Amino acid sequence: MRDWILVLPEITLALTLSGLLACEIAYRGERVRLVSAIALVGLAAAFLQTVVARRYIGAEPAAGSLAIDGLSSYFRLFFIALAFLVSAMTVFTREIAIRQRTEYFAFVTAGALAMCFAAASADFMMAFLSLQFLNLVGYFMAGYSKERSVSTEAAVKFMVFGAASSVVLLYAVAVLFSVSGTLDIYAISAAMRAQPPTYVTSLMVIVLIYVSLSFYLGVFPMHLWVPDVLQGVPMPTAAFLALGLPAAGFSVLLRLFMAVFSSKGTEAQALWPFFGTGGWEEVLALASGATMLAGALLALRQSSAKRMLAGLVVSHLGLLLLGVLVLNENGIAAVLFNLTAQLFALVGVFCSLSFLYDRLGTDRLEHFGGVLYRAIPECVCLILFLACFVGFPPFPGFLGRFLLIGAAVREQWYFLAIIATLSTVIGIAAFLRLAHSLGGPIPDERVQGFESGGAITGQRMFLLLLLIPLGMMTLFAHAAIDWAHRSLQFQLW
Amino acid sequence: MILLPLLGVAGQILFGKPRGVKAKDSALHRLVAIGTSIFAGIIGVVLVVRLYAQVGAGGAAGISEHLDWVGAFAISYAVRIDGLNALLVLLISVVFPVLLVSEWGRERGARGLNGLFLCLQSSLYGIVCAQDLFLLFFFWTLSALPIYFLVSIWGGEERERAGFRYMMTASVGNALLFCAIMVVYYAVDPNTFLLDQLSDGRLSGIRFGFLGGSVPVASLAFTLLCLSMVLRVPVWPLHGWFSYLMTQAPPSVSVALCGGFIPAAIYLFVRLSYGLFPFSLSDLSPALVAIGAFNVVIGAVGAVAQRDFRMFVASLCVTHTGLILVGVSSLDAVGVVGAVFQLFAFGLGVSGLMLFFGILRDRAKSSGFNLDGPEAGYGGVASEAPVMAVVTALIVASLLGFPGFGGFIGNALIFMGGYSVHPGAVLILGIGSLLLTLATFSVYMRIFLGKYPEGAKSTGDLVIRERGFLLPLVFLLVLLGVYPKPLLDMVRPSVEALLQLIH
Repeated sequence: MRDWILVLPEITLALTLSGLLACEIAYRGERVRLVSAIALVGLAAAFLQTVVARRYIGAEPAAGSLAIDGLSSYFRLFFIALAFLVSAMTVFTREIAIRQRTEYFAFVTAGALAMCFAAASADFMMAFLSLQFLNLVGYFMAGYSKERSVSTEAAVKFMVFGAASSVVLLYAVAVLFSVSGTLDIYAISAAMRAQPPTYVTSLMVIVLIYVSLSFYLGVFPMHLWVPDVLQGVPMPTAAFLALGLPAAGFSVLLRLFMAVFSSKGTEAQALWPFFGTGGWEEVLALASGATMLAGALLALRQSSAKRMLAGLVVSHLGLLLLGVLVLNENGIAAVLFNLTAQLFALVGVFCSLSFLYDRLGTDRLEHFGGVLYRAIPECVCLILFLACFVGFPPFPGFLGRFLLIGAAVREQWYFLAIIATLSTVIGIAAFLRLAHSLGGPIPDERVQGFESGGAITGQRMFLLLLLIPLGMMTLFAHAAIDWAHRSLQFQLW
Repeated sequence: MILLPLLGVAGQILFGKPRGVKAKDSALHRLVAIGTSIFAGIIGVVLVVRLYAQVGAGGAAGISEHLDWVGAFAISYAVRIDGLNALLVLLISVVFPVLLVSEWGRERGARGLNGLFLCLQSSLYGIVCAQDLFLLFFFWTLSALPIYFLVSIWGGEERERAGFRYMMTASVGNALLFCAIMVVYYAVDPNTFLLDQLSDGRLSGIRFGFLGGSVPVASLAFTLLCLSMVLRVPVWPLHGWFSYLMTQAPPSVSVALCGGFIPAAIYLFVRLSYGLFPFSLSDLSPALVAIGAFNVVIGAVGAVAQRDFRMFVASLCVTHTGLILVGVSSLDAVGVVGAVFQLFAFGLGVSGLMLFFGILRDRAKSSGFNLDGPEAGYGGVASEAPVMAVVTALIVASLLGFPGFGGFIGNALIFMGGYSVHPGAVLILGIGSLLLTLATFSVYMRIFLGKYPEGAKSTGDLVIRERGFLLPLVFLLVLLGVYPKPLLDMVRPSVEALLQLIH
């Protein structure tokens, strides 16, 4: 019974998915509303079930192939909330034609399902399969607007990088299997604890795993797909891919690093002891620093809003790697806090950008001039969400950055902390370029706003609703950080 | 007894925030904005008066409030008004309402302008009152944003470049300050951001390893602090961004910048350097005095050479910053009190000057003057606008430190305090002041005396609204000069407490 409750969210997601597909094939009437309702209700139900299931966490259902603990529970909440927000965003955008909405919802739900499995997998085969599933869904989503050449290019790039990454992951799994003779994460960990692997083996496995996951994480060395894919896809997809894939990557990376290569420390603040001898820290530190700087510099020079955002996302992901590098409760909790803040901020950014994109038909910065006076609420929201995302103070984004940099300083990664600060400054400069391009000269007479109507009011309400959690995270930051810490306490080791 | 002021401080910060944007009627939203600003100002003044009563009764702790915010990282919402920042609170409380009233006539974009000014006001209050480094950094960074938008939307021809340049220097400065704060935070055990717990020279003697070497925390953080301040306050080697910003900013924004932000920033330097790094400060004070004196000379020479009014004001700011810096780093009670007092007087004076410039510029548009740029064609305004001439004369007199005005007291105290320690620097200050007097009078002469251009329409004198908002400034300046005792009494105990650490 407990096992059933624990995997109920995934079951609900699968049922929603099949319901959507059945609708697409069978039902011919006015299908749009029904489909939207099914998708949103299904996702909401899955979310509620995940919340309920949090009371029973700490088990390995499905014959030990899934691990439902604090970490995977956190990530399931994250992914389902993301899918819900993206689906809600889809309703408002014009980039996705109403006729195509069904298949779009199906993609989003399938993606959420894959991500949930990836986050919970306690078995290398399971992790590999769910990541492949995610890859496939992502490929379809990237190539969604297939008439546009940008989109096609994005899809091909995504596929090539994805294929390379899965091959590399298979190599890593093969090496681990030959070392330990099993695919179960905890069994591997026990085997390695009994007989520590040689320096070369452990370093090779970690580098292979990292390189493979760097595709999902969107960090150096495989960060190049991010700007192209984000530019080629509709805004809701961009939000889904920019948030979901890295988070899925982090969920797998964290589980592997925590469960396979280290064990729980005895003291709360101390670094978790790591099996196998060093080397991995330098690799990760290098990657983190390179990603932060590359992303920020990339963002600074862009003239397209989406590409600029992609740069900022990459830079922020590099910063999150810092939390993995500081392999203790503080670092990981900071990563979780950051991801949560980023979820609302980025969805908000993409949603308000989608409004502007629908009206203007472009995302070039030079065409944004004067929009501020035509759509004041959307532009103000865009600026607020972006300010949060790039880490401008009083927003939780800043607090999150502070937590990460603080965790790094405490573990004496001074140089990386300086790079992180520097890249934040560059990111803020990029943000200001974007914010400023909205302004332009003050119009002489009263300008005509964009058309109004129920849909726009709905979208504004949606943006406003997204601002609320961000405000709460600022005011009750203590509670939010506490919550992130608590997610780690029920960790299976 | 303490609960009411607690609410007041919270209200002061919170009340600055709501922007008067919702109201549809243009007069209404202006009134809302001005009302909020004045209300916050009144609370500020009331708090200062309360503090004065407290100091008179012998207590010097100040009025404070403390709320935990992020307990795990020892971040809290701690604010306090004491002798050191009381004058600054007063300054902000006076300047910003005046500023908003002066912007009454703006037709386009008034809502955004007022909102940004209010935002700036509350962030300046925050900078001045915050007792928690994290909170302080919040407000410190926040203050850059309104100025950036104000300049780059409402500024002159090259507003975007000026704004961008400002923001880049400010961001780098912020990052340096952030580094300094982080270094301090992690140096002490348990980690804390509270100024109270970090002061008393606790940081001296702590070292930390970096790149193989070992660096004393205090001097490293102090260096970072100095660098970050230099990037946000016009100090000689790096004041290029400031002059550029001044030439592009609209007059009211210059008022906020010179009369609000710069005093607040210098105050911050005083607070942090005396509170956290007293020994580093005393080690480096000769260098700081030298920089300050050099600033005075550079600024004064620049002021003599300038033909553009706004560049002239920028030079004036550089001079006064230098002057205050000398007072601050003289490490002498009289000098520091003088510096704090001078912050107040200078803020008021330069605000008055810039406001007057804004008024004249509005008039000039309609009467065919050209005030911008070196070839300005004006003169003889005194015959057209006698009241304006008198008011400006009073403000200028205060800025130059004529006896009987606020500026005199500040200048005299700085000179007195500085002379006992660095007589040479004070000599240079004297020469600088003479040059500045020359420059200011020639500017005044060119504008007000001489012949009114033929054929130009009359500028008209000050209208009631303008008289109304200039009145409090002039009144305060004269009052400060005639009877400064209460304010000085309020400042002195706090300063002496700070200086005890060093001596």
